[in-house]
Amino acid sequence: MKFLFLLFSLMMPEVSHADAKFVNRSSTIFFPSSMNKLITVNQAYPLFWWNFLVLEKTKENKTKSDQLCVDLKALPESTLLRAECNQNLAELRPLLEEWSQDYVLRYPRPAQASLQNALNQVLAEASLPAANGEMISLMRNDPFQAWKELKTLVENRIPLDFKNLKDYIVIPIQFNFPPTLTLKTAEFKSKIAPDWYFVGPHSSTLQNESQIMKDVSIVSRVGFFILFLFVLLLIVLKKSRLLLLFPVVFLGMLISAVLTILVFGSIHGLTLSFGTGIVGLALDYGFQASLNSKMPSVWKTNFCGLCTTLAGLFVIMASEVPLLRQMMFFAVVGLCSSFVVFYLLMTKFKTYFESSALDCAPKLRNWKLWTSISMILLSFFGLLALKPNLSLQQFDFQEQRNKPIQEWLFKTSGLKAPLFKVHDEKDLNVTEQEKSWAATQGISIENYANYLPNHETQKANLMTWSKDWAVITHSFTTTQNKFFEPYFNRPLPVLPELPRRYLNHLYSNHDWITLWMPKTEEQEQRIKATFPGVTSLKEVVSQFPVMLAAELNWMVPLSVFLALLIHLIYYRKATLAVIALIPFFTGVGTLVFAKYLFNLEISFITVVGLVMVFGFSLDYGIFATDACRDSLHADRDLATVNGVWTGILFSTIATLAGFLPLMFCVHPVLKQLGQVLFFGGVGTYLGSVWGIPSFMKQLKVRA
Amino acid sequence: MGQMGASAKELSGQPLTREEIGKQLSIYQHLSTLKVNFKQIKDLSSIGTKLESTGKFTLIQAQKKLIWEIEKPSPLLVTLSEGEMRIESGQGKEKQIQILKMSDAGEQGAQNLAALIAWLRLDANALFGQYTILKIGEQKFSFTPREPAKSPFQKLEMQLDKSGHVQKLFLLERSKDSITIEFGKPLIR
Repeated sequence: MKFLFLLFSLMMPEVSHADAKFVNRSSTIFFPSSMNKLITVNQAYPLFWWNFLVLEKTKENKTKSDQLCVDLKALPESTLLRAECNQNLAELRPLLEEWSQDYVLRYPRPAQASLQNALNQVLAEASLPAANGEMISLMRNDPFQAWKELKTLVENRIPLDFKNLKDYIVIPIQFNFPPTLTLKTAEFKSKIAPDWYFVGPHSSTLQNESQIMKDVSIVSRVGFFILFLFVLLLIVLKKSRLLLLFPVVFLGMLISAVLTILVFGSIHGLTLSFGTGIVGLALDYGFQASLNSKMPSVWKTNFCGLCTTLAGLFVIMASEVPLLRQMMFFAVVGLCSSFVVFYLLMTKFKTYFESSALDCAPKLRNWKLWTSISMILLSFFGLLALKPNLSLQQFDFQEQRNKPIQEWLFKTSGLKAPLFKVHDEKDLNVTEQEKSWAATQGISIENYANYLPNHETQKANLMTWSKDWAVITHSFTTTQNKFFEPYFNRPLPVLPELPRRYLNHLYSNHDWITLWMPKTEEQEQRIKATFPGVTSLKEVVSQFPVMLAAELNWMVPLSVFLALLIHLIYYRKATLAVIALIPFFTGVGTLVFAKYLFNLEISFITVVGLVMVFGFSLDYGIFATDACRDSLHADRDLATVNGVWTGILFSTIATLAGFLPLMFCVHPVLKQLGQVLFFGGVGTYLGSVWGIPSFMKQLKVRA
Repeated sequence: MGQMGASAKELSGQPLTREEIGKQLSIYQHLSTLKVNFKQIKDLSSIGTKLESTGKFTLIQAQKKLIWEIEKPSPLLVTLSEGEMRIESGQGKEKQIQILKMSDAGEQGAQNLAALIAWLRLDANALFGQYTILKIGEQKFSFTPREPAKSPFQKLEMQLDKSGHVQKLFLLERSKDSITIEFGKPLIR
């Protein structure tokens, strides 16, 4: 029963929390290695960890805003890197220590007179009555007043002014953890800013995950209820022996999970989720063998069904997407091991599994034939004319409350998606070119060169200081000596091997990111023309479904072709080989019909769902074609193969029951997957029990 | 207690009323501009060093503006007005201008600044509101914050000359650092 496996799979995220050793939840598996570095920048670089807290501008909310600022400041650095909220110089302190220490890397030693002037300037400022103990402490460690430069750089990281907006209070905050740590985000939101609108990557990830978990919870409850009804149905129909099939499929899944971990080192949560759904298809072979135990060709039919399904899975295994490769491996091993165990058990202990069939043979009617033909024609139209919407934007679930605020924020601030380029650490000289070009074009940029010159220049600057660093204070006055003791009494910095705290937001795993912040389309084009390879996250992300669609463009026809080839070898007759494909096309046709009837969205999730429809539709096609060949063509009643129709019926009920709850989900990914599998499942069933018998009858009449 | 150290007997002086302190500082309540040279010693006891500076102080009452111009150890011009502090440092090509909002200085810094502005303007009403004022000697007064937690200063002392001008100010910070400012002969308009 597929929905049981779906339930099992949907609970997998919980399981994966419990056993993180073998269960992988990383998003890197989604993308080919060439794409991975680009598509995961928002996880890797703190530069992308900005979010916005928004509230209507009222007197009461002003008080809330003041309190929020106090609460934000009290948060540990491990939670929040920065909040643009009543900022003061003391908040630069964590960055300032290394920044002022690295002054000697950024600038050569000045002439003695200039050095003296610089120190005296600090002393003059320190002598101001307003300079308190904390400021004095900062000044002692910053004799060249490097904080002024750092303040400007930090402020420019957000090139927008949110302080004077008319309708809303906006507080930009930068987290110190990636958006994937949703538990931390949820804790922050509920404890610190429960009433605030929350917009940004962390908010978006949290909302999506929360909605999926809510949906999963509903699906689980409805699923268990349907499971109960199904078990009840089998007991009432005196088919309780069919319940023995489930442990076999679970065993297949277990074998597959162990082998996947052995081969890949770990198993991804999504492999467990969707892979188990595919392995659940093995149940169809169990149903057929159990309900048609007296039919000698049943295992031959089952084997042909398995081969066509495997052909499709092997084709998808050639995908560039590592997740699909792993998922297909899991599905292949799971299906094969379930099949083998079924075969061994059901041939050796046949009587334990035998079940009688229901009287559910299809009645042949002309309208059923024409309905099937219409569905097939509709499927051709759909496959040729309908272009799936490949944008991933549609899958970004936003709570109704936040939606208008996000739109307002982007409109008001004129925020454009920033562009970026990732540089290898050996390639840092380019960042200086980027910086100087951006300055001539008046384009905001955030990169390594904003903070440090290239390594050669750093080295040369450091040399000018290191010559007489140990005796540099000999020329100082007593006051200068005493006051700046903390700075000049420590050793000179070495060239930074690892990034400094003030550069953390730009560094990840030996790579440095450059962020461009164009204000107009024209600026964006100029940047891309001058620095090839510069791209935006939106562009990179949109490449993923395009790549996937391109793969499916050749995978689906190849899978259909291979299935047809297997059918030809099996049936040795072209007409039968084609007829066995009818359920797939009626499945697609029903989906196209439902798309126009209910205005459904066709996306790349639809395409992924169709791959699953393809898997079970070929099995049903072979079961039904064989049944018709053994009955109609042998001048026997369709009812003589009632076991086949019963098997298809139970398989369909299991499929529909499993995927129907998904249709009531709110999250677009689950909802669309549910729609494809439900309508595809209905169409497949109709193609098997209406289409195939009708076509077979026509063939016989003509013969 | 620095150069203005007062004896215990003096410290237990007479408390002043609002009218009395207003009378003592009456000369500052009606002027439009005041210019005066100063010499300041900031004793950073925690470091064990003293910062000496000299310069000019200008008060423009109408604009509620204070100009604190340091000449030595290095030229520095600080203009304090409502909510912000403008700092000009260096000369010629090396001249730098920095404008700091009160909020930039942090809560503590802003309190320091606000307290100092009240002091430099010698606004008798504001001072009376913030401090308990005792007369501890001839033309000598001590100021203790009414709300010590909110004040950057632990204690202040002021010495007026015979004509009622501030001759010397002593400010003891909570950090135990202290500032002594000696003023020259003022130019008043």
